[in-house]
Amino acid sequence: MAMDQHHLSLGGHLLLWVFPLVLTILVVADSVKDWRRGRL
Amino acid sequence: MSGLEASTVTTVGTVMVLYLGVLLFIGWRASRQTHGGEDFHLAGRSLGPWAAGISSTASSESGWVTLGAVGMTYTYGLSGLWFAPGCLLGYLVNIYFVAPRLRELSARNGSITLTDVICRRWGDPRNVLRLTATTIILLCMMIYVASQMTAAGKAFSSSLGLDADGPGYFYGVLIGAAVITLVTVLGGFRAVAWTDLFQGLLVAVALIALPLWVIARIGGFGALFSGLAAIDPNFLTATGGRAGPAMWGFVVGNLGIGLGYPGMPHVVTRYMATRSDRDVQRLQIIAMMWGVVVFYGAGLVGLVGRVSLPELADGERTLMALALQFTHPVIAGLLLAAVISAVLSTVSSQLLVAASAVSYDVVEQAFGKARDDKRSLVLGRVTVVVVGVLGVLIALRGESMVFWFVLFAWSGLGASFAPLTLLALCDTWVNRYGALACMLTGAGVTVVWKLGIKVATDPTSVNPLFFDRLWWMVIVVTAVILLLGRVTEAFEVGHIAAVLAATVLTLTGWFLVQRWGFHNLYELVPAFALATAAAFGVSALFRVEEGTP
Repeated sequence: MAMDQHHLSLGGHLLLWVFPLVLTILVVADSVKDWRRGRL
Repeated sequence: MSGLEASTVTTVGTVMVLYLGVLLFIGWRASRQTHGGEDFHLAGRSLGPWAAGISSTASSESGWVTLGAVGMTYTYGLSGLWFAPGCLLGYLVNIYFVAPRLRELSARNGSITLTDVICRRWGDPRNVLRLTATTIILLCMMIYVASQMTAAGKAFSSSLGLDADGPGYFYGVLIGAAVITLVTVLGGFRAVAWTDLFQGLLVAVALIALPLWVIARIGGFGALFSGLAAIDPNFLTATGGRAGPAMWGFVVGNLGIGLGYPGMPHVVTRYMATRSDRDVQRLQIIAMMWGVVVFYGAGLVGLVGRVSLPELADGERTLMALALQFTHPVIAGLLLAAVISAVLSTVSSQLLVAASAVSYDVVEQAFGKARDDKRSLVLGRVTVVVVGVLGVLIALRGESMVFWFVLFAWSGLGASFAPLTLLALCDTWVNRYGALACMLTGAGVTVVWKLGIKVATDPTSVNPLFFDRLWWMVIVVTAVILLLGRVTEAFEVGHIAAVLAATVLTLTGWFLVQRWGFHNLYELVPAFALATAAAFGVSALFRVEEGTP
């Protein structure tokens, strides 16, 4: 069964992986910023 | 899950015993560093980022994450995953707003518990705030502890292939409760935080490794999505085929779960116990990443369970069933230990919060027993035992009652304390009268909204006479509170206004849910909003008299 047979809806994509990915990037970026300022 | 092979039961049982042994060892180690009251209730404000971060998150996620959340996606497909962004938004507020400010405030005014923070922030010369907060916390925590012990009993018995209603359940409750109570008694807050760290990491590894392992076995994500679509095409959409008010109610309600986080005393005390500001910065990334892994892991477990084991009678058993079906018994034992870990890490934290509420907030502070570090430690330990035993008794005797009341525990605590905690950390005109109105409104609206939804959706489930007279009951309770407050001379005019405002808003909540049909809305959302309104409104109308703290 190939993946292209059953696509997630746009909302499904956002809910399943776009939201956690963006959140992770923001959290990591904040920590990197803290680290560069010597606060981590 | 009866009918397991004897060798599997032996292996799983051995892993369970080892796991419980690790908990006891950690409790014993922590006890050697626990010398006084502040050690027992707050680990001497010495937690590092890993212990504080994972402990705060593991305490907030009870058996709900390994059982209930998994069941959500098993039942509703992808749309059941809306709880994940809801919880993670709650984490964001807690970790980036509450944690640094609360640590600083509690260190500055020497607070030990969340109630203590609230009372010292706004002044509480007559202990009205302290006793109200303690009552709400004790009620919610006792029921919460009992429900989690019930869950532990079920998880133990089913993982050993025993009958969930028979003696297996009884011994499961007893063993789980005995071990976790002993650990908490021995090492207090430090033991709770360290066991949370161990258990939290176990849960995270289990919830990410298991679904990925099973997805690989069934043929990858493509097969997963195809399998879901074959069961129901709506399983691949974010709305799950819902439309209109039902959809908005579902989405807003799931996102609304996150509103409760700042009000969980067993969670936010972790931030108060963190060693330094720098450790709070480190805690932020650790706790957020744990949250992402655990919530999405739990969601994936439900989805893969639906495809690979479509015939389960109860979606909440997915994790246990997958573990036994797809992994070696040793790994299955570890995964089942993770299920119980999620439960016990919450129980220990709640036991300690309930004990601190009695021994510190009531006996030491409200009754003014002089604080002596050694006596405070003994008192704390005795209270943990009492609360633990009470929890076991409720879990064994009143299981049905527990499941009815536990529905109020998260939203009740959240509505009563989340707006208050946030307001305590901001510079507003809210004062102690507003704080009282906020707590009472949050608790009241939660109860009537929950009951209102039940009446509207299933009128036969409750005695209609009870609800016809509900608002009379609210008025009678209010009158009793006011009378007691006057007789004991505890109430100032502002306190009376706060109780009356809470009554009016609680009745408003009742009419909103009854007459204007907000049945789809999770009760925490309106309760949070009305509680916040009460705090600002009462504080604006009744200023604290000059000269009082």
